[in-house]
Amino acid sequence: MINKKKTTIFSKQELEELPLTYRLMNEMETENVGELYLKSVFTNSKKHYSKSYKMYISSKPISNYIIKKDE
Amino acid sequence: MIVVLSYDWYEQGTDPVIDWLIYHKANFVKITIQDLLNKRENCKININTGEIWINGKEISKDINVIWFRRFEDDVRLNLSDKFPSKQAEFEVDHEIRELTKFLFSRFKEKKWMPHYKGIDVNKLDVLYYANKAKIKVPTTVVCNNKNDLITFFKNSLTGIIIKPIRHSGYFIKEKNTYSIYTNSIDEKFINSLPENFTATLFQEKVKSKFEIRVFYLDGEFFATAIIINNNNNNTEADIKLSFESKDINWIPYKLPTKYEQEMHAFFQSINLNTCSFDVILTPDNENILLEINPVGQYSAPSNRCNYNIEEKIANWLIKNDK
Repeated sequence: MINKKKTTIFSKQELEELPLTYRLMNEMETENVGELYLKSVFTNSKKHYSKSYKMYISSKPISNYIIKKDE
Repeated sequence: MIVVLSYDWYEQGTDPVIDWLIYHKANFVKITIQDLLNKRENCKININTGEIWINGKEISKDINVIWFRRFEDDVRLNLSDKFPSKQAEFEVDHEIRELTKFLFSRFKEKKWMPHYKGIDVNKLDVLYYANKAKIKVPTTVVCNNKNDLITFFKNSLTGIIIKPIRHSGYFIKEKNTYSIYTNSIDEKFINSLPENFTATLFQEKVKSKFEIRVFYLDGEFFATAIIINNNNNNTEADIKLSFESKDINWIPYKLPTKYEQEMHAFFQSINLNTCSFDVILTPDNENILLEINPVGQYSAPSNRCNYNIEEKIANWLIKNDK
């Protein structure tokens, strides 16, 4: 993640209308974006699944392991 | 009763606190934007009397404390992004914000976290008021032209960075996600710019021993020093981009008592009873405040430094539910 090359997803024309910050974007693989966890879950245990609390983060510092669906 | 105003989707800070509220059998209700928009729960706000009815039960008289957790941040409607839906969505977003403003004034006598007057504090407010309060902040300008930018760059001996004035989210494009963080810029980048551009925030780069991330809760400070073990200066301008690095260490840290007192007084002056804030410790041992987020995240320092911040927030809500 250190010093990754910057990129942009906006066209030259769009960039002319946007603040300069949009010229220096970071590209990451979606499933590796920690705050999204779109394709990873913390556990396969059924008891942690309910309508309201699909995603569960333990407040205890047990580990940073996550289990990917394809494993 | 405690009211949690949040949204339905995964929100890393909210659910662990709710776990603690459940554990302590606290009297609470979570109301989300989706409850109102998706017609899922029967909600009625009587604007004349100020009563709030959820599924046939009036709750406004029982409310003592309100935890405002990104309530209006994530309005998702099942509409296309083309005309006329795009305009309608824009308008609904403003409808929700008007409703939120009403909730602020309706419950202004109640305990809020963060206080409703402080929820909208932005980076520019913080830098302006902190400077007035003699709290050290980096030199910052917002400008739209190359001449002013070059002058600012030449006067900033340590280099300059750019970052969004407010916040930029994730641009998810299938397999890849794009995001904007703090970036250093150099002369080559500046020379490539047109004479005028859309106004952007520029800030003097602060030399740092290490960065400190702090969660503040009603007079208490939970600070984490982020120490990166590398000697090759190969660090991103935004430390968030180094979070996955194996060289990073999260260390429980105690801010100087005098600095805590100054920050506590400053937070009171801008109506904040909770927030996350970032500080740089310079090689000269000065603390430079970078920015404040009234609804910032705390899960990482909470877990890594054993602060159990989620439990402390729940305890604060329960203590003030009277």
